[in-house]
Amino acid sequence: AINYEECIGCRYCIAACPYNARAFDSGEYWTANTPQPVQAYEQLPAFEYGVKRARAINRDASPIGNARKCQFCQHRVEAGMLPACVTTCIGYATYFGDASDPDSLVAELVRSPRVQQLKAELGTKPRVFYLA
Amino acid sequence: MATASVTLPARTGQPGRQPVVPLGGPTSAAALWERALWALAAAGIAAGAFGLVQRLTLGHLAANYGSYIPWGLWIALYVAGVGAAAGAFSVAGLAYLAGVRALRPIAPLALVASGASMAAGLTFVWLDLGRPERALNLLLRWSPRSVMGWMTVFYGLFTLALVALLYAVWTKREGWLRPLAAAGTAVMVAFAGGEGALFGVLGARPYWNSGMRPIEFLAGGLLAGVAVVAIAAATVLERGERRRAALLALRPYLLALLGLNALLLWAETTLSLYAAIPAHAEAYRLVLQGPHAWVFWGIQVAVGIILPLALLARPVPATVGFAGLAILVGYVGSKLNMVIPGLAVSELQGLASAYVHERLTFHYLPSAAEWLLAGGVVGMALVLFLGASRLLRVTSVESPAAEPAAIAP
Repeated sequence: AINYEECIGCRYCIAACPYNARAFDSGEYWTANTPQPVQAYEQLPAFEYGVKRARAINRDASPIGNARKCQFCQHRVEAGMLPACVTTCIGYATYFGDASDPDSLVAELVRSPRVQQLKAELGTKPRVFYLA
Repeated sequence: MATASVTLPARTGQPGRQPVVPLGGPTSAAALWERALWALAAAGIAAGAFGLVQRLTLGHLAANYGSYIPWGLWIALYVAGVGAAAGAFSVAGLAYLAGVRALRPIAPLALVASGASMAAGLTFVWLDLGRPERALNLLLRWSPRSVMGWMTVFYGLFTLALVALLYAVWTKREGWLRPLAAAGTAVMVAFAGGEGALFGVLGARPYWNSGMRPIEFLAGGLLAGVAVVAIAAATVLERGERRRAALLALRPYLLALLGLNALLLWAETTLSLYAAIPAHAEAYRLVLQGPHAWVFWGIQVAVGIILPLALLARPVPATVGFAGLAILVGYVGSKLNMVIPGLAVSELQGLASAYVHERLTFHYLPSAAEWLLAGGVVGMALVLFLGASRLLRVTSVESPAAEPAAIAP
């Protein structure tokens, strides 16, 4: 988790991440510089870490100027939902759950001999497991 | 050039206000260089104004770094600036601690140069922050496990030592010089090496992850800082025998540090390429053979090492300043080659082609706004240096009674 109210945007964590998994929000919109104007959905406030965050440079709760990363849709998980990527995956290729619960589906899958992890040798203790 | 009235010390037998004349006369070499540097500073600040407007209105959209290469020109210049600050301070350390008498007249100049370099470096990193208004969080939420947190402490302590030492020089408190120089040197070694640790502790970046990085950064900073002092002494210092002796005294340190830096560069590069472990070697191949290999061979090696070695081959004072300039240019190249290649290698195979976006690319060139703002910060540093030099009269070294004059109210 990244505290958007305290992050100074130094991007040291981005440099330190072995997976290039962190991103810096420089204030861009995906649909900027396209024939159509910036789409309305992009300008809606993001709902991260339980706080409604309007996009604005230097507004305290805004994610702009901060480092960002996947937080497994924490706000959805806390509401009893799955992360958005798991919900939308058209191949049903992703699973999410509590690996410390031995009876859960993910705990069963993690015990599979097909499991691989990325760069676990760096001591990162990744929480993403791949079934090869 | 604006002048100010100054009250000379009483022992000169000249009570009352007397006009200040440009050091050595209005057409002296020092005065001409000073005017040229003021003009350069003005040009830099004018350019920087454009860059600053873009930085303030567009935020980081004006820069070309992104999420795969999050650091660029400004971080390279930040590292260069604080490293040079360390090296410039070391000249004062040589004078006050090691007792190198020939360097004593230029020790105050070195301290001013150190302060200006530090100001430039810290301004660069502050402007680079995504949320610069939160910079104080580094102290307010300090953690002993954060290398960056420790650097913030060292910068603060160093600034205090530097200011105190300048005060001691200005007020002729001889008894303070040695202990303050010692304290400043200790902190200087800590933060100069710590800069290398900032990079060296990152296990995710094999190009950076080496115990040699703190040593390299300290050695590079010392070289660059002595070079900065050489440039300052060669340009704005009052002409005379003391200046000549000081330039000649700097020469062996420049040569020794050049040799040390060349050795460290050779060792680090060849050992990494010899093992040829892809994660380690890929960044070095990028440096030596990539599209920007000219920065390494042309700037870092040819201009930064070979040219100054040739200029310093004979003990000629006139060449020391030029050697210092070449070293400084090469040093900036070396910091660009430290920061960017470490980030320009993909952490995961296939990531380079997974997304198509200008912020998700492993190619980086500084934007126009980055260059303009860099010019502005350098201009600001020049203003600080020239202004403080004039205020403290550190460029007047040839008179037997040379001393900083009190400023008239």
